[in-house]
Amino acid sequence: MSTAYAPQGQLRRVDPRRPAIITPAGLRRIVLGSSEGERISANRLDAPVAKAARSAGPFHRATMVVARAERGALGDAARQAVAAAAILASADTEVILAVLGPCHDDVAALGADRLLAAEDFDANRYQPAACVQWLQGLQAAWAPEHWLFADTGFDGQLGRRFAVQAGLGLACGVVELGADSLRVPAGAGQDWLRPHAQVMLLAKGVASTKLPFVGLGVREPALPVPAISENGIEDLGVQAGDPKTLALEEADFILAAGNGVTDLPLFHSLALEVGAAVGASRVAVDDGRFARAQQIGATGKTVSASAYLALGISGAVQHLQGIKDCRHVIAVNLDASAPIARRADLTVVEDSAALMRALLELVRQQKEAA
Amino acid sequence: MSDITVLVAARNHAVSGRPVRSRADAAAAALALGMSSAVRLLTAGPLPDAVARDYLALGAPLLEVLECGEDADIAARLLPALRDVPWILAGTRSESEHGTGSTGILPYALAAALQRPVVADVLGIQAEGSAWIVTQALPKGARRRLRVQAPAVLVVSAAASPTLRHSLADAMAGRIVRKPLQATKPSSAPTSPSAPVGQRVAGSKRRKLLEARTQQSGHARMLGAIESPSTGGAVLQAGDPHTKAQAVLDYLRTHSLVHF
Repeated sequence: MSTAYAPQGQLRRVDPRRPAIITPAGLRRIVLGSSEGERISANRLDAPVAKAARSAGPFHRATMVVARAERGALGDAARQAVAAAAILASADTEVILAVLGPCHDDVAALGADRLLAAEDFDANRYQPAACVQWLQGLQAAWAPEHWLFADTGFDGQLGRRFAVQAGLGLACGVVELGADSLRVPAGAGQDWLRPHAQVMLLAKGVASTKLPFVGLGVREPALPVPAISENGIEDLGVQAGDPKTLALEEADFILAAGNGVTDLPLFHSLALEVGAAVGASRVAVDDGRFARAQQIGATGKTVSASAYLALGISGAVQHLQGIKDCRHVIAVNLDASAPIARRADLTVVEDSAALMRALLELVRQQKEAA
Repeated sequence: MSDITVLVAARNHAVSGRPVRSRADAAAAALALGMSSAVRLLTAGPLPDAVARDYLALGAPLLEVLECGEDADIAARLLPALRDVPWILAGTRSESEHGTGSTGILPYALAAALQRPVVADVLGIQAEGSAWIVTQALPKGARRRLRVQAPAVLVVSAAASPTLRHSLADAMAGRIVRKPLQATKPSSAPTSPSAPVGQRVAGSKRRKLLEARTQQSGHARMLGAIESPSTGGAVLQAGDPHTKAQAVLDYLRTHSLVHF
């Protein structure tokens, strides 16, 4: 019975490619009866659109975000600080990202309008006074209204040193940042609610790094970090951590074994050769192949290595929880559809023993050549 | 006059909320007591006797308490007592033990007022003549050694793990000297950065995330609802083990994750 749908035998047709205009807000708008606009097919609408710039300038004010880059990349906390600065910035405020060390990130996507990178910064030298003086040079040049740092490790200490030296107002460990106020914990379930300070050190997870806009991302070489002597302090050098004695949480490079790894001597010699700490999944630990202290995952340890090489690990949810803070995950597995392939940046479908043998041979060759 | 002064304070226990000994401060005191010089423990503000005895149990003969008001400037109160002290040690304040919203700023403020260098994240100290060899903790298990000349301010890391001894005899025998606040003169000095600003409000467990305001079309929001979070990176299927191993090594090299 087709009468229920077309009682008069006449179907009302809707043109699927009606002319539509794109409003300045980015919304697709159809004006009924109008022939104005473009006939866009649905496929083109699905395509990712290039994000618009937050502000095209000219800028009269500035917010400075300071971070140290590790291996040419910013950490999560520093990315959040840049995003927070970009979200809070008004149209005439420029978000300037000052980076100690070279930075190869796409800073426009992070929300920064200008990148000042001190490329010659040597992270192994002890030079906090020089860093503070570098920041004071930036302050003289740009006169930023606000300074944002991530309240972690080096960045947090630098922020404190700089705020004290420059005599600026300081808020440490900011857990909530609003348009004109911020919250820092005051203990006993209470918070300090206070207006924005000139220097703000942001705790992790304050801002979302998902931005609907991009910054201008102008790259500019910064002034070099001044070479001044540290008063009364002599640097005797840095000693890298020994991966064998290091706690897994602190390790920078972890080689992890799962049920797919059976050749343990080969696995350990590879770990020794590449200088990686050894971790394991729950199955391998329960099997007695590894110590309980080496277990990574929900019931084991949560690690934050820069590189995580998972051999023969399928990637149960509990294991993926343990490696959520790892930056680069490489998986070696025979099953290309294992859950770890969704997490890994590079998945190699191969038997772990064969790959370990080939990798060990390669590393030995390259070490001899070097 | 003692050579080393260790700044100690009580912290509120995370669960019970009672004042207890701070672990980093105790580590600082233990490191200082391991040196051959005389050690004085010093605090400003309220410190219950029980917590003070806990610190004395580490082996210190004396703990001085400079009494001051609730919202007083602790750095200004401590300064006169620290002018002639060559070595000042303090513990790192962790995220969970802050009071005024200026967590861990005190050592830096004192060092700036006294014009001394600060060394943070100290793990260990050794005497070498008049100087000290200080071991500093860096991320990823690295260690840095510094030769530090007096006077200096050292901030001991919470990860420092000297043996904390607990001696009941020392806890009983140690003296607690409480110095009351002198008649206050109207302060003309500018307020230090550690002075609290703002008001205390009830905190909530769920923190409000700072997010950019977005205006999406309905179509885009629907797409977002069915979008899978991530589909993973590159998958390498073809090739013999050797080329695959080369690909793994190339990945590690391009992101400078290995150095050889």
